[in-house]
Amino acid sequence: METSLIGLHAMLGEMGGMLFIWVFVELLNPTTGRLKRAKIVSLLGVVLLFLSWAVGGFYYVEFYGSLVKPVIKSGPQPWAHSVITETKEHVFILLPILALLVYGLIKNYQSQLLTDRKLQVALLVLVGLVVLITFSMAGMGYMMSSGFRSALEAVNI
Amino acid sequence: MKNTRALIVSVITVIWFVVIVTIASELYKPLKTLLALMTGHHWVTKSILAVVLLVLTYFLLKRRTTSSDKSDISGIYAVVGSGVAGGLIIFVFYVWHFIA
Repeated sequence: METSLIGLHAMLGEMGGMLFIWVFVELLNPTTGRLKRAKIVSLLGVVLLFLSWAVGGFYYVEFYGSLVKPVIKSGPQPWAHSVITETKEHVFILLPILALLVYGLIKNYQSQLLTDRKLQVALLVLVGLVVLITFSMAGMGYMMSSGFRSALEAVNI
Repeated sequence: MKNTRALIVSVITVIWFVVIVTIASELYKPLKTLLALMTGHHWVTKSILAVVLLVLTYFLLKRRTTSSDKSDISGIYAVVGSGVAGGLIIFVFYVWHFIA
């Protein structure tokens, strides 16, 4: 169950991140058709990131604290919990909210985005931030797994 | 979500709320205990409060603010700046907390 949950959390998050890369590409040179696609894709991205948040949160509250955290903290890389997990769990709260703002901006500024280059660039920077945070979450997840594995290896030695 | 300005201000408010409550609850343990008591886990409480604050701030500001392209462009950059600064502050805080 725990492994499936963490797999689902990562899959939803990474798919959400990929959808926002798609949005980024659509916004590089927007047309009416591209903006329509960007709106739908960003909404789907918001849903996936909220689902990833919920699944990851359930795993964190139900399993991580009792099964994984004590092992990492007793292993050779305790910072994997104390710095990485702590940062990840709090920065993740911001991610779906930033994604929701991207959707709101695309929805409200369909016509302006066709002509206003400054607005296009500002939105591209915001979408870039959503992508960057999403994949930094994946990287932090890898570091947490490494911290857990190194603790188990230390016990086996 | 028709008022973009209200949405931008709400997002910035939530970002700084998360940063402040995260650091405050680590430095002042009774706050972390209180957050944990509210839902059973401090992270769940912070998440729920973030969503409630987003919705509440948006609806409070919806009728009081008006959007314009120009002000919203600077608002988007303010969100990006807050997101980057907030994330870095949380990371640096936990590095310091771990070392200390």
